[in-house]
Amino acid sequence: MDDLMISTKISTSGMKAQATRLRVVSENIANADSVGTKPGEAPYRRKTMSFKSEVDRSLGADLVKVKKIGVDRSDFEKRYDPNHPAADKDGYVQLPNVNPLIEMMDMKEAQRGYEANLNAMQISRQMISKTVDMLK
Amino acid sequence: MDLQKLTFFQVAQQRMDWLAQRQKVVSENLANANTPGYVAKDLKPVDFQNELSRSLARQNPALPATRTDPAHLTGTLPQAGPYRAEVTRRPFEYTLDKNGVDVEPQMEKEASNRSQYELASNLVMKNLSMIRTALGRSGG
Repeated sequence: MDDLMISTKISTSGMKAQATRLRVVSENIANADSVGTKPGEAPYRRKTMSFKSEVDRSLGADLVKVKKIGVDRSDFEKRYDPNHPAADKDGYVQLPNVNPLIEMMDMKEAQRGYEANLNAMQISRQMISKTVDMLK
Repeated sequence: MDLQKLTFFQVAQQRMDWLAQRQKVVSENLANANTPGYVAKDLKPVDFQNELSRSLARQNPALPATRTDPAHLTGTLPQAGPYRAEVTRRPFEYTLDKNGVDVEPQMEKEASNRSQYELASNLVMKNLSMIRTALGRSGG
């Protein structure tokens, strides 16, 4: 039964990590059109994140943690728009390096991961309640 | 009356322990389904050879390190549970970041864990009610 309690904690850590991922994806999508306001100013830079597995000594289990939230160093795209306040001297505006398709895929994967963890937690809880039912 | 003296209850308890620990391992796999470099694990099935060496080890447990100061570390790894988890040798696929967790087999393991756990606990309850019947009280 102790192992089952620990499994629910492990699933919680997985859900938290996937939720953080979803937050990063939302930030990217929300800022997909955030350009600068002054000439030549850099637009929004896409954020990235990665997971790492970490042994929790008190539980004796591999929990998942967010390793770090970094930035995507790829180049910005440019659009010719001389009337834009952020246009440089040649008339080009820098656009964020966010690709909505990649963000959508990431979002779906985060959702699937979250569901898988939720399912694992439900099953652990059912097993716990089955154990408690033995008292009847 | 000590129910643990009845072999059936011992077996059922062991089975439920194994399933609970396996559920833990499966949860770990699912939580780490997107962690770079993580490969799925599974518990070794219980077999006679394992059980024999385990019962021998129980008679001669490893000596823990002595702590002469409260600041000392215990010097042993956290108790991982009685059953050994091993890395899955050949997962279906690795992702580009070297993650080797296939979600589908984990789902199947979860489901079979639950039904086998239910089977074991129902058997225990049934046996208890049989004992009750044998004692001459109305079972139920």
